[in-house]
Amino acid sequence: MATKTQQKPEAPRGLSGNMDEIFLGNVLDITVVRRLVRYSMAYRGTTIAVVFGMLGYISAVVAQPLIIAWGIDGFITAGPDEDRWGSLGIVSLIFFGDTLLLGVSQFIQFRSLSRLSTNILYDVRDDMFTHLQKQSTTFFDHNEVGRIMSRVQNDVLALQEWMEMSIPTVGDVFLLGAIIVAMLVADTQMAALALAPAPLMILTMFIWQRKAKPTFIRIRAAISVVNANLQEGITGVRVAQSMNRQAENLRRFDTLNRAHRDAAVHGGFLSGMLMPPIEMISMTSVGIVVVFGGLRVYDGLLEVGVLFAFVMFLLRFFEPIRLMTMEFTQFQKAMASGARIFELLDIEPDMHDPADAATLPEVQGRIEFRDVTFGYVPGIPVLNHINLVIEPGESVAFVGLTGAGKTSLASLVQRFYDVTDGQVLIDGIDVRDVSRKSLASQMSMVLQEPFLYSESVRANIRFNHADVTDEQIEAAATAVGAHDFIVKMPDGYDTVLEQRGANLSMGQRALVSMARAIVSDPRILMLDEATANMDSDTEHKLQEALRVVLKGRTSLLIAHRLSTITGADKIVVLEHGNLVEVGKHQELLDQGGVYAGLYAMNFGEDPTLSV
Amino acid sequence: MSPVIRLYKMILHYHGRQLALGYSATLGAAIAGLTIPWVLGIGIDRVIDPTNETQGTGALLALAAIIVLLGLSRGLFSWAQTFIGEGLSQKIAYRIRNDYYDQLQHLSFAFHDKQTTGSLMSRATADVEAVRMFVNMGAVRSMLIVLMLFGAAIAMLITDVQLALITLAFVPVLLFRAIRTSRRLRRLWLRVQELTGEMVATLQENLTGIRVVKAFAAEEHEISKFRVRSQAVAHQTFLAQSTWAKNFAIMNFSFMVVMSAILWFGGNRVIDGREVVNGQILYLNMTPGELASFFVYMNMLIMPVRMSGWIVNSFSRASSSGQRLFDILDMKSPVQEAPDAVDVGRSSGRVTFDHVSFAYDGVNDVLHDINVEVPVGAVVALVGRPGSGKTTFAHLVPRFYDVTEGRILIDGRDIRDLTLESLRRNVGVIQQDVFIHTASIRDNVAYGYVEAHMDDVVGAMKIAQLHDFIDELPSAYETVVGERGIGLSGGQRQRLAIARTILLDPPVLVLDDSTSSVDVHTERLILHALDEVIEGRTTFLISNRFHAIAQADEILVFQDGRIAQRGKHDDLVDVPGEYQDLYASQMRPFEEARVAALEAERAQGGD
Ligand SMILES: Nc1ncnc2c1ncn2[C@@H]1O[C@H](COP(=O)(O)OP(=O)(O)OP(=O)(O)O)[C@@H](O)[C@H]1O
Ligand SMILES: Nc1ncnc2c1ncn2[C@@H]1O[C@H](COP(=O)(O)OP(=O)(O)OP(=O)(O)O)[C@@H](O)[C@H]1O
Ligand SMILES: [Mg+2]
Repeated sequence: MATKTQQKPEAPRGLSGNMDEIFLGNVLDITVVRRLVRYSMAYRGTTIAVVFGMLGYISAVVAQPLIIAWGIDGFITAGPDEDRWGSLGIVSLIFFGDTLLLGVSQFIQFRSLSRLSTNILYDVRDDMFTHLQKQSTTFFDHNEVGRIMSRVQNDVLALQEWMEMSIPTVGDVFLLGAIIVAMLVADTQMAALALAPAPLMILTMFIWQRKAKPTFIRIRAAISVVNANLQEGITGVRVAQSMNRQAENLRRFDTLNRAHRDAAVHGGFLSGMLMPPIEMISMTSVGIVVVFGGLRVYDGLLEVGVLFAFVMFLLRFFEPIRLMTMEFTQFQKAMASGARIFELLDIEPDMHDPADAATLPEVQGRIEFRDVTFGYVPGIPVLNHINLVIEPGESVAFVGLTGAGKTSLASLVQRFYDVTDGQVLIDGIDVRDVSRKSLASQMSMVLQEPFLYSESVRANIRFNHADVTDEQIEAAATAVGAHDFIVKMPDGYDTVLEQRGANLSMGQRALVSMARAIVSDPRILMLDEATANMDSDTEHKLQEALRVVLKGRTSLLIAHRLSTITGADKIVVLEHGNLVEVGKHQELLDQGGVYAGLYAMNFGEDPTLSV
Repeated sequence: MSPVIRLYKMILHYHGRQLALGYSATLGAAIAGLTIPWVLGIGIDRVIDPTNETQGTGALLALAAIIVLLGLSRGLFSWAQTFIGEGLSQKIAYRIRNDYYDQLQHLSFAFHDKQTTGSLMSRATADVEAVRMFVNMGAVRSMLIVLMLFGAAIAMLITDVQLALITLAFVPVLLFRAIRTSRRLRRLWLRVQELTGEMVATLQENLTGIRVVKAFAAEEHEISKFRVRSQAVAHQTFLAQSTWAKNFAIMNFSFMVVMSAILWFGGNRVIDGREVVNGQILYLNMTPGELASFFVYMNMLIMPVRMSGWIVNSFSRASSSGQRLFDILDMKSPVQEAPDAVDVGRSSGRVTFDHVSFAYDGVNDVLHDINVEVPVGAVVALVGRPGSGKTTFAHLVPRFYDVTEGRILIDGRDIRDLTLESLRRNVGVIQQDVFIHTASIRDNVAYGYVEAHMDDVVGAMKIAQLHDFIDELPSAYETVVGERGIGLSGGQRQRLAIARTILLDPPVLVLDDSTSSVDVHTERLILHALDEVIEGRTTFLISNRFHAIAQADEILVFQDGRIAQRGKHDDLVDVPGEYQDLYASQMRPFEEARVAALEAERAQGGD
């Protein structure tokens, strides 16, 4: 068996804090766009439909003024009086055909776009979730739920809005190009004159953009603070009510909410500010066409229909530009969101199965800590040179004051974390050499804080063991003594629990989580203060029952109440991360060391306490 | 009342003047906008009217100047309209957010038991945003559409009645479609929001319970669970969007069909009236310029019509989102303060349970006929098996829930006659499920008493035996804890919760298993310190550790929601029953050891 010694602990990895501070990115972030395009490759057909819809739409729009001009110049102001069907009729029909093209292509464009965006966003979300599941416990130690949630939820939503709004905008850009070409073809000189104010417009937008950006950043920063505060208000509502903090909380929330409102109102002022110059510039273009074109019509150099088409084009021309300005911030917002999403997707899980990870064969349950040193933060060890062998079928209890390292030691067996030094071996196999799934599926751990899902009791106990039968579920519940209260619930095993099991008492939650741990008949069971909220009698009966259920299984037990552990095959005493005593209850008592002291505290009379 | 109407009422009530200003600006923008085609029409007629030659360049320049000015004024009015619309929408959103926050703070535990944080958050974010969009787009800007449509209709009627009537035929069609689709879309979006809420809840549970996932290697299980939810969201979103796309395309199409009609009918009218007099063309029915202005009018309506699609959308979203928000805002908390509630001031701490029964669901009693009379300053211990009703008992005193039957008295007064604030000021509950705020340790301790003096904070922390630990941290009391700060161990969290309640110095104190994760040594120190400040205070102590329970003035033994036994430790321990069973199992090792020791002694003595 390969022995891995020195493995440098890496600095805690996670979502960079400053990424969350970036509220607006570049208008176009090439890396973000490129990766989104990669996602769209899976939906080539839909993408092509979007492009075709867009092209159809653009041609239909550009053709409209031209058809009208043709009608005016060819048949309305001049031309024959007779055979209207053959002349004006045909023009009108062609216009109608164009309209049909416009309607259909627009429908195709929007529908395919929405199919594309929902598909891509589904994939992105799915990748994020899957990727998150691969992250180690360390990652979750360093990144709060709220921040991760906001990436999977809000950032994906920002991308969604962007895709719905901006891809039509891409169409608008092409439309602009098409209009310019159409005008140039119709009358180069006049087109050049009409477009002369356009650079002024771009300059205006550029300046505005630079001035407005800080405000839009402020708005986004403000709303994220508002939401974070709200979230804490919701999760902490029970404390707030119990301590009469509602008024103070509202006051604080109001301050943040108000700051956001004021920033946003100012943002509205800035958004509108752009309109007068834009309108004026675009109407200047129209004015130029009226004067210049009018003179040319006088001189018989230009037909009135073409003049009209120019006006129509110009009215169309500035609309998309205006829209794009409005969506500027939307673009930047989406790019910042995209960058955050891909940052998360790019985080390498700091603990993954080695390429040649073997599957851990069915284990006997022998656990060995070989000179294990471990720390959460490099340089600050929480466990020092632990050497310990636990034989298959043994029940071992860990005791020690708070913070001694009991939980940490147990979590190494499951490979929640990797050791800093030394080895953890199961049946002689280093836990780092096998796939984590094969490792974790052979053992169960009941955590210090019971966590239940808002699903039925049955689903909670079964959890990921799809092959467990209802009988096994009931047997497990019966073994831990949960069956009686479960059947008394309104729908028995099918009663759906509230968030985190709020409709159960704390002790009941612990019992259900214990049933979940034993239902798969694990070879190794670890209980971390699982019975802290229970009375000793319940706990005692529970242990008797477990002893039967877990016959021949290895069990690790952490408890503060010594009555819980006196029956263990082996008691391990930890102090400041050092293993100080190992032995049976009576042996340790006779030693008169740390354990004996704890024992006296548990059962002896305390002379200092008198009520 | 429909949520949309309510929103309108809200706007009128709080910001009526602003709405009027917004509408005026809209009106200005519409008038300026509608004048432009008219001027353009005149211009076109001028340039093709050979009799007008004399006026030449000057007239054209004047026209151009008017157009530019009209453009400018439309721009200014739009600016005002955008500013006012955005401002109005933000103010309404602000108001709703505040109301929502306040409402959540006041809804009782029973409400929060049944809600997930995810769904409450999605209301506060997505639904508030939908309502805000509606105020801006739907309430303010929709007026622009109405004005533009009306203005264009009038202008067209003035220009040419016959052609105008043909053109306007599309309006009813458009309206009919808009209304019909809006209904359908409303349902679809409501569903999207519900499904999104479920997805977010799944995500949130997965992340908060990630250690469980890891412990069971249940990653794949979770992925498939999430996938089902997110697939449903994607599917439903697509359904809603494609319904909208269809509606949008049809509206656009029917609009454009009108343009072809104008071309055909208008063109014919111009040609019909075309006469050549003295080699010059005269238009008797309708001039080409007038025809052109029709097209320009229609062109100007493209934006409003396109926007009306958005607005239909925003109407439907607002009515489903508004519904979800108003549902919460209108909710009456089951725990209500009486209209004539009194402030008790500082009570002496005499607590009485008078035939109290309680059921969480109103049907299945969790507590049955509880009668307790606690004298001032007594320590009452509550023991019992999991689910026997201890926490429930404790939560009734500060009215986290209201009793189903019977009454609870403090100083002889029914607690329902007191203000909630004064009641809770008198009853400090250290809850079993500890929640720590992301804030500095100082702020966490001073949570219920913001102005607390630092000495008092330190004093409370000393009682909770946490001062020494905090003091050693680099930034001591300014250290940030909670999700975004350093992690605290289970025992440390419990002690922080003790400290923040002690600081409030309530006459009635409830410790709900508050030292279960604290080692016995520390626990003893805490109880001892509490003992010193407990003078004259009524204490309910829920615990499973007998060295603490044994000292109580009275012990209540809970069994299936009833008080099975009561009395002092010395009395209870000698009678067979629940208490003895509980006690014996904890003392068993000790007893065994004592027996062993005695035997050993005897064996020695026998030597
Ligand atoms: N996720 C973590 N990140 C950083 N430090 C941690 C983390 N978890 C625990 N610690 C620290 O490691 C040390 C050992 O903690 P551990 O949880 O193993 O103690 P314990 O003996 O199980 O205590 P308890 O009785 O409270 O469960 C403590 O000083 C604690 O502050
Ligand atoms: N929020 C709730 N909604 C519905 N039922 C609940 C709720 N909280 C508790 N219950 C039920 O009420 C009963 C009493 O629960 P309670 O929390 O009072 O027990 P407890 O004696 O405090 O138990 P523990 O020692 O485990 O904390 C249990 O059967 C539990 O399932
Ligand atoms: Mg309880």
